[in-house]
Amino acid sequence: MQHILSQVEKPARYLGNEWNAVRKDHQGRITLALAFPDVYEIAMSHLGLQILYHVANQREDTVAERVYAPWTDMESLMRQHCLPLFALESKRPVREFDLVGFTLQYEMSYSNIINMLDLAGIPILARDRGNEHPLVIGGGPCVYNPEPLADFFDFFVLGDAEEVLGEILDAYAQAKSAGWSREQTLLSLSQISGVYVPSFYEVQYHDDGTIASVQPKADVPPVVTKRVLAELKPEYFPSKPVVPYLGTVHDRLSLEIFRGCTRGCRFCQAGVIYRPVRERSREDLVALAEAVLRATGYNEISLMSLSTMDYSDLAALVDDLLAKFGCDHVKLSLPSLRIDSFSIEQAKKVKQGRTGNLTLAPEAGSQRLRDVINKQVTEEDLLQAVSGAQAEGWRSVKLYFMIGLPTETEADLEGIFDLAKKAAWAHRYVKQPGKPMRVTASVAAFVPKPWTPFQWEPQDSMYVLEQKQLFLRELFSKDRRLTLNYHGAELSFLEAIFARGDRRLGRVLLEAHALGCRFDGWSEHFAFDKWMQAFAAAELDPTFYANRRRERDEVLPWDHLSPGVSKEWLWKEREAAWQLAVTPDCRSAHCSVCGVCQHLPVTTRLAKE
Amino acid sequence: MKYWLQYSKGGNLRFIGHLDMLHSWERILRRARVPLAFSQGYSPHPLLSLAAPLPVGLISQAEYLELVTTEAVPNLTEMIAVAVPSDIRVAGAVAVPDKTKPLMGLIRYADYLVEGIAEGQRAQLEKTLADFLGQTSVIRTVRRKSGMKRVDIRPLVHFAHLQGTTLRLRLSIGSVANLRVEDLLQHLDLIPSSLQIAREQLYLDVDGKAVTPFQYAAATGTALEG
Repeated sequence: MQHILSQVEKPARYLGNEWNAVRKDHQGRITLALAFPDVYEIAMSHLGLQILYHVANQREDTVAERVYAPWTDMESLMRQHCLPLFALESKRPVREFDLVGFTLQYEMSYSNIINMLDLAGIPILARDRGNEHPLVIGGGPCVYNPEPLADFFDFFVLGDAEEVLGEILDAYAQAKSAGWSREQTLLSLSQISGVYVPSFYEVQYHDDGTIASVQPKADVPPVVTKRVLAELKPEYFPSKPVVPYLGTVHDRLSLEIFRGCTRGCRFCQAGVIYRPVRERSREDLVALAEAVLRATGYNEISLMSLSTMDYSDLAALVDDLLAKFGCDHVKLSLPSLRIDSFSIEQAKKVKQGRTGNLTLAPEAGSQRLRDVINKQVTEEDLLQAVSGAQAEGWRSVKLYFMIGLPTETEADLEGIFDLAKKAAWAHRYVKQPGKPMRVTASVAAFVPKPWTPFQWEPQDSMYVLEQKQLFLRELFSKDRRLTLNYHGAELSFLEAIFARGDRRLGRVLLEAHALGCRFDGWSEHFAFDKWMQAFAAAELDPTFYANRRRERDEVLPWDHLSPGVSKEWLWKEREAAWQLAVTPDCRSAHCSVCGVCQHLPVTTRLAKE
Repeated sequence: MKYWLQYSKGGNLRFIGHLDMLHSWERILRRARVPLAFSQGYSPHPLLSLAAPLPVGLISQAEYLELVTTEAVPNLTEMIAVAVPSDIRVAGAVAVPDKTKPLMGLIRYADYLVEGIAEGQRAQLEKTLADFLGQTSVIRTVRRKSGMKRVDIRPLVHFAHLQGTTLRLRLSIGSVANLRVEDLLQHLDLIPSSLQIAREQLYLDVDGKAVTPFQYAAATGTALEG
């Protein structure tokens, strides 16, 4: 192992010797490998797995260790030396663990999951596994349509995992001591609310390729609903997170201030699946920050959530944290700003020295299209915010937009350019002197996601997306102060396929793996041609998944799963989009009956009413 | 207050590079609640520096960290002991006058212990070494930040003793003249990644004599602490 480590680019990725890494004897304990299907620096930046590591290791009867995708240099050496995928802390082969839990954060990491199973020596297909193999579990946002992965996983867990993880470990302990078969164990697990065992469901297809039905084959619930925490208790928060030696993407204290978002942007999946909003109290947050800073030595706190500025007591929280830790030179960072002067005020409080980039997300270029997507921000809001930032010393701003949104016309694309230009000259709109700002417009292609009001919509074809990118490039070339960024449409196309795919895509994933696909989220490894070859080999049409409009009554591959939000509400929101009707946030207005608080024992929980 | 801290770095920490190590020291000292002093200006950073970068893959018996605190910390090593990973052992600390030049700029020599030389290589190595030491000038092309450079490496080797399968070296290091131990080993036809290399000590130069940082501090009249 030492010899292999001395040959790789970054050995620190594989050491498992970080501060706060948990080492426990495996003897007599349930062993759980927590897997992230990407490289160390990305994996270690993810709060979710740190939470599960903390919760599982709090149990005396369980040992949880980490395992991440080895980078390609390490993989070659491992294969060359027949070294199977190992867990970081104990270096024990992952295939010897009882449970292997993958977090499913991104569709384009699916090829890495299959590669990791292969490297571990665990049969890739769940049906080929025996009692001697681990149970392979999936969690995270992609489990709201895990169907493309159904063949590879033994079960999935929907929703907040803090509580259900304990129930799963209890059930597993019982099965292990009773010596149950794999099938019996899975049947017992399937009785836990939030657990979905795909092999217990049978999918029938129509001749046109759409789904006819999804039926339980065993005594399992016809619809699996997510688990949700009514309250984010501080004891579930990792008070001693693992501190990497290597610089990671988010190399700081990630303080989750709330979960869920009810702004209701109609393209946004996170805004549906994590409902409702559950805020931690300000006192809890300050206490957690203090505990984690002491246990880690971090010099920066990042306030994490889906929309940090929406925390009901944010100004006071920022003041408290600055007052308490500012004198120790602990920085505070606000990862997402809302488009308003309040946000600029908070950003100003935490900024140190020279101002960096300011990032704002108007998402669409015209008011009409912003109404379609329910992004309740006006041009005036943006210009006020940008001019305010300018007055505070910011010199550049980055604006996030999407192209290919439903109902988009050329005028909406021109709107992106116009808005970027106006932002550069924002001071003039508020009649203030000043120099123009540098503006970068970052334009992503819209990917329709399951469990959103746009889940029935087709994605623009790659050709149309590329034409739109060219159209924007032409516009932006007229103004040197403006920069345009966009990514290749190929990746967005594949994301759209797997986001709304069905079980048949498992064949494509197997073919792609055989062709050597991995690290698809990394441009240097992404091989679009191989993916198209995989589709051809699997005899599936990728445009069926990405570019087809679904009928209202079509059975969707994820209809037997539920985040609590009802399909009817999503359709109502879709209709509202076409009528340019805005649906207000239920935190400040009436309830729109999305279904979450009606179906689940939970309700919006704010730090300050 | 300015302190020099001596520590050893072993185990898997050998794979942690210089900058990551410096970054880790900030975290260790924060966990230990040492009152660090910070630089002035736009983006204040803690006043910390390592005496000499240790190449990735090497362990060391004598690394030195220079740190500045806002107040005297008489029990510095005790405070730090609870916050360091097991692969770091703090050997001691010494307070030096604030006006002492940065240790980084004072270091001149380093001792290395190279182990794991194959028995079969011994005879050849003995010959190569004797040949090398017998010369007054040996020009070798070495990699520098600025690119490849031709350097006379002979005067940078102060001693080299082969004892069994163990090679002891004293080489120039620091801002005035520097020879990477890997470069010398390669010159001697050895493969550095197949050997265990430990740095044993760092020295300053006082009137042509090698003295350790702690000896230097004692000689300049500062009381040892911790």
